[in-house]
Amino acid sequence: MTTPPAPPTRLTALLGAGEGPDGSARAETADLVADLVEDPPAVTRVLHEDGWDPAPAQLAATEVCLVRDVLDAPVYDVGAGRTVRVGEVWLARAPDGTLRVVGVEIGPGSTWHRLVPRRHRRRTPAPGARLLSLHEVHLSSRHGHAAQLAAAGSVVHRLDEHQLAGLLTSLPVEMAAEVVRGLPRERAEAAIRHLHPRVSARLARGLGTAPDEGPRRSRRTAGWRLDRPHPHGHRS
Amino acid sequence: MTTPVSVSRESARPRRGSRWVVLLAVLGPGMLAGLSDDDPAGITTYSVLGATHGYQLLWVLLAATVALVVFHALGSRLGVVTGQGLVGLVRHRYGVRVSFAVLCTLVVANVGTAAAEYAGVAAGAELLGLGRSGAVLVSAVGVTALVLLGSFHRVEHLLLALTAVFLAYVGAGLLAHPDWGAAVRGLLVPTMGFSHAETVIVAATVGTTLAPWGLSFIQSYAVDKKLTSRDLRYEFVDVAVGATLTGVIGFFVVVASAETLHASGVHVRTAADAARALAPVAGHLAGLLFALGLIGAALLAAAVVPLSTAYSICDLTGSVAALDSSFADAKLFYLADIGVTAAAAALVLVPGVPLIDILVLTQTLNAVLLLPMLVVLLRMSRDRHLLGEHVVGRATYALQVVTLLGVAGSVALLLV
Repeated sequence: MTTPPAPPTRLTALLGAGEGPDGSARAETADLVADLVEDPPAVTRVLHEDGWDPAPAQLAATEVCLVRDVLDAPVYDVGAGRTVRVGEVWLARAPDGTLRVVGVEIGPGSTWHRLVPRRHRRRTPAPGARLLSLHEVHLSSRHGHAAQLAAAGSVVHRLDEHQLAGLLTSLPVEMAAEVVRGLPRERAEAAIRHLHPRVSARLARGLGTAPDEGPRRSRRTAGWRLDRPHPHGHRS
Repeated sequence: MTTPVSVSRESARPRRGSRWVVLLAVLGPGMLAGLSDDDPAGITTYSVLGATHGYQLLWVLLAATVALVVFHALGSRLGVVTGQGLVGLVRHRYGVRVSFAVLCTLVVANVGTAAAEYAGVAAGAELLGLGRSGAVLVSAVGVTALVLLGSFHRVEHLLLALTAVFLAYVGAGLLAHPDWGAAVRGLLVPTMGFSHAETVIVAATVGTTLAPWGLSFIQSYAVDKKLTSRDLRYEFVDVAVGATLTGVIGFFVVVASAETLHASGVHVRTAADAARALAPVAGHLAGLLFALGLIGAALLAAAVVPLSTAYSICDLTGSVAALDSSFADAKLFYLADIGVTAAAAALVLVPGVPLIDILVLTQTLNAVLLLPMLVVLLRMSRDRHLLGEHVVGRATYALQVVTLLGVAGSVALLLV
C-alpha cells in the first residue's frame, strides 16, 4: 500500500485552473479520472471536457470521474451506517509521482468553504476531521456504485453481514439488488437475514425473486421504523 | 457472480391480487403532490377565475393539469431512478452553489406558502364559527405530531385519507347546478382577452397548480418510498390520477363560482369570500362544503409543504431524510419540518405581521423559481449519466419542451 504524503490538495482547487495537477500549463481541468483498483485510488487521466458531457472519454469498469461520480454525490458511510453527501475530494501526490485520492470529506465544513467565492476565502483549509477514505464509503452515484462493485478490493466486498445489511437498507432498491447479485451467495444470504422483513421484501422485488404484487396496503400500516436493521435480526 | 439468493418468507408468499394491488401500493407521491396543489392559494385562484371570468378560462386549468402530469411524472422518474431528491440531484449535477441558491429560495418561499396554508385553516375555522388561533395551533401540533410519530406508510395513509375532503368541492359544484355545456366549451375551446386581469389570472392558475415545492416534494417522496424503476409505469398512473383529480377539484371550484358568483356579479378576493358568498346563492350546504374543503385542503398542504422543505434541506446536506427514521437518526429532517411549521403558524398568529405582503413575496419567489427548475428538470431528463436507459424518449421530451414553453408563455403574459 502506498501512503500519500501531505499536503493534500482539494479537488475543487484544481478544477478550472489553467494548469494540470502536475503544475504544467494546459487547458482547464474539468474532471479527473481515478481507478478504484489501486489503493489509494490513483488519478489516471485529466479530463478537459466536462465529465457530464454526453460522450465523455471511455472509462474502464473500475474508473470513476471524481467530479461527476464522487463530488457532491451521495455516499454510504460504512462506519456511521448512513448516507451522506461528499463536500470535497482530497488528493495528494505519492512518492512515485502519481496523484492519489486521499479521501472524501463529508459534513458542512467543506460545503460552506465552497460556497464562499474564491477571492474571499482566507486560506485553504486542511482536510476536516470528517475525512473518509474510499474504503470507508460506498459510492451511491450511478457510475461510482458500478465501479466499486467492479473493483474487487473496494469496500462493498469487505463488509461484514451487519454492515452489508445497513448498506442494503440504505441504498435505492435497484442498487441494493446489484450489490446482492455481485456477492457470494452465502454472504448475501447472511446479510439479508439481518434485514427488516419489509426491506428484504422490497429487495426481493428488486431482484425479481418476489411475486409481481406489492405488499397489501393493509399489511403495511404497522408503525415500524425501518431505517436501520435491528442488531439482532428481524423486529417483528 | 452468484446465483440469485432467496429472501425472507414474506417476499416468497404466494401471488395474490392483481396489478391493481401493485398500483394501490405505489399510489401516493402523485396523489399527494397533486392534490396538495389544491391548497387555499389554489382554491382562491380558482374561485377568482370562476367568479370573475365564468367558464371562459377553464381551458387554462386543463392546460395546467397537463403541465402537472408532465413535470410530476418527470420528477418522480428522476427520484426513482437516481435515488436522490431534486435539490440533492441539482447539487450533484450542477454543484453546491446552484443548489444552495435553489434551496434558499425554496425555503423562504415554502415558509410563506405554509403560512398561506395556516391562513387557510384560520379562515376556514372562522367560517365554521371556530376560534382562529386555536384552529391554527391544533393544526400545527397535529400535523407535526403525525410527521414525528408516524411511520412512512402511516403518514401516507392519513394524508391520503385527508384528500377525501376534496369531495366537498365536488358537492359544492354540483349544488350550484352548473351549465355543463358552457363548462365543457370553456374547458375545450381556448379563448381569452389580454386584459391585465386575464393575464394575471392565467399566470396565477398555472403558477398555483405547478408549484416548485410540489416538484421537489414528489421527487423526494418517491425516493423515500423506495420505488423502483419497475414501478415507473404505475407511478405514472399515480401522477396522472393525482393531477387529474387536482384538475377535477379545480374544475368544480371554478364551476361553483362561475355558476353562482359570476352569474350574480359577485366579486371575491379569497376562498373564504367565495364560501361566504356561495351560501346565500347556492345554499348554506354549498357554503359549508366549501369551508370544510378549505380546511382540509389547507391541512393537507400544511403537512406536505414543510415535509417538502425538510426533504430539500436534507437533500442538500446529505442528511437522512426518511419518515421511517427515528428522530435521533434524522434530527435535521424533523427539526426542519418543525421549524417551517412553527414559523408558518407564527406568521399567521402573531399580530401585526404583514401577511398579505408575505404571501405576495411567496408567490413571486415561486414564480421566479419555477422556470429555472423546469429547465433543470428538462435537461436532466435526457442525461444518460443520471438516468441510464431510463432517459425520457424524444416524444416525451418534445411534450416537456412544449409544456415548458406554455408555462413560460403564461409567465411572460404578466409582462405584457
